[in-house]
Amino acid sequence: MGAVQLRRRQAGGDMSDRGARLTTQRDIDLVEILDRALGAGIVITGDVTLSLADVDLVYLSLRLVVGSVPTIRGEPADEVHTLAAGAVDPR
Amino acid sequence: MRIEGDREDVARGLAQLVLTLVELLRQLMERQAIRRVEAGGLGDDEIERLGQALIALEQRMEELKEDFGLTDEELNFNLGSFENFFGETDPKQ
Amino acid sequence: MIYAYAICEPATAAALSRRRGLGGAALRALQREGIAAVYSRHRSLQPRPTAKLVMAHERVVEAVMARGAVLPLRFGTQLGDEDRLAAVLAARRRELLHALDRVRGHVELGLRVIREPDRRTDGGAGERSGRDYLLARVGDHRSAELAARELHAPLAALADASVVRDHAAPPDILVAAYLVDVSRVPDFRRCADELAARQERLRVLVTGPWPPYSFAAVERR
Repeated sequence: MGAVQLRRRQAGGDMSDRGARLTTQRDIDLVEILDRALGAGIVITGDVTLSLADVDLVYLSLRLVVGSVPTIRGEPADEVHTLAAGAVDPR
Repeated sequence: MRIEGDREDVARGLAQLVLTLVELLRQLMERQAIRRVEAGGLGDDEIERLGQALIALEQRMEELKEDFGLTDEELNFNLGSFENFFGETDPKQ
Repeated sequence: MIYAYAICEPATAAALSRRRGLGGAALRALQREGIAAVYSRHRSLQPRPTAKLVMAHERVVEAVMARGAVLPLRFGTQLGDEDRLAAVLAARRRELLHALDRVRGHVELGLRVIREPDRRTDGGAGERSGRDYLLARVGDHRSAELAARELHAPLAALADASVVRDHAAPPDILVAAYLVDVSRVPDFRRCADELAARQERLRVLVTGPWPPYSFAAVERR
């Protein structure tokens, strides 16, 4: 078969609306967005510390978010951001 | 009878969640094992033991799936279950 | 505290005045010498990476992207005040402008190559040696990786930049991101389609378009 191409219009949608436990485009979008917003993008030194240990573990957490049954609410428990309100390092 | 049905659903739902997690971990461990073998530095006996552990894990997983009557699709651990997408994909390309 | 979402050009940032960011806070723009940042002010904010907050962050970044070149910031970027943000813009101005130029008119497309779940056809329990089993898995994986890699090269040729993730977690065999000129997106998708059609054991997933998170880094790789 050909490639599956997921087209997006824009980020949005109600994340609490899980419905059937199937992998929908929305689920995949969430994994992809979490992947990017948490693992990529510019980091402003000195102000953000991400304590994510390993790509595999992050992915595991992401998959758990996607795969959790409808009755289980709540948020990914593993990831903790430590925010240092220190000065920006202009270097 | 309705109460029993609900209890069963809950148990099944939990089993689904737990087994999804277990399967993910199994896949991760298998991937790690593969990487370690590829990287070299493992003795023959270590490879043998790793292999046996993976075999045991895989068998246990099959047993659990059977016990709960769950299929791979229901475990939903594979993003590649594309047939589950309901009209969200563009059929043209 | 201020929470920052993205870096862009002043005109782009100015166009966002009516939108809202995390916690419904109004979006603001700050600019210094031709480079701008989009941020919001908060009395206190604990930006835990929940789906809801990350999506709010993403919505802002995409709103910026809809209006001009954007360098997404990682989720969770908080600073003490506007002065500190301005200091970053001033200090990194040249690199940021360069990075903006690089992504202008481009989108990020994602690629995931996934293994078909294999139905193990091995025989009885006690008959295989651990070594045989594991080496067979290694062989399987290696050939799958090689096949996946062959998908990457032609797609990378259609992009202006690409990154391949070091270690894809199962069931992914290959995870990559491509910085593609908007006008080449249809070609890219067509190419992915053709490549995927030739594969039997691998499934190909193209996602996007995304803001260029993977290509926003100011340092050259």
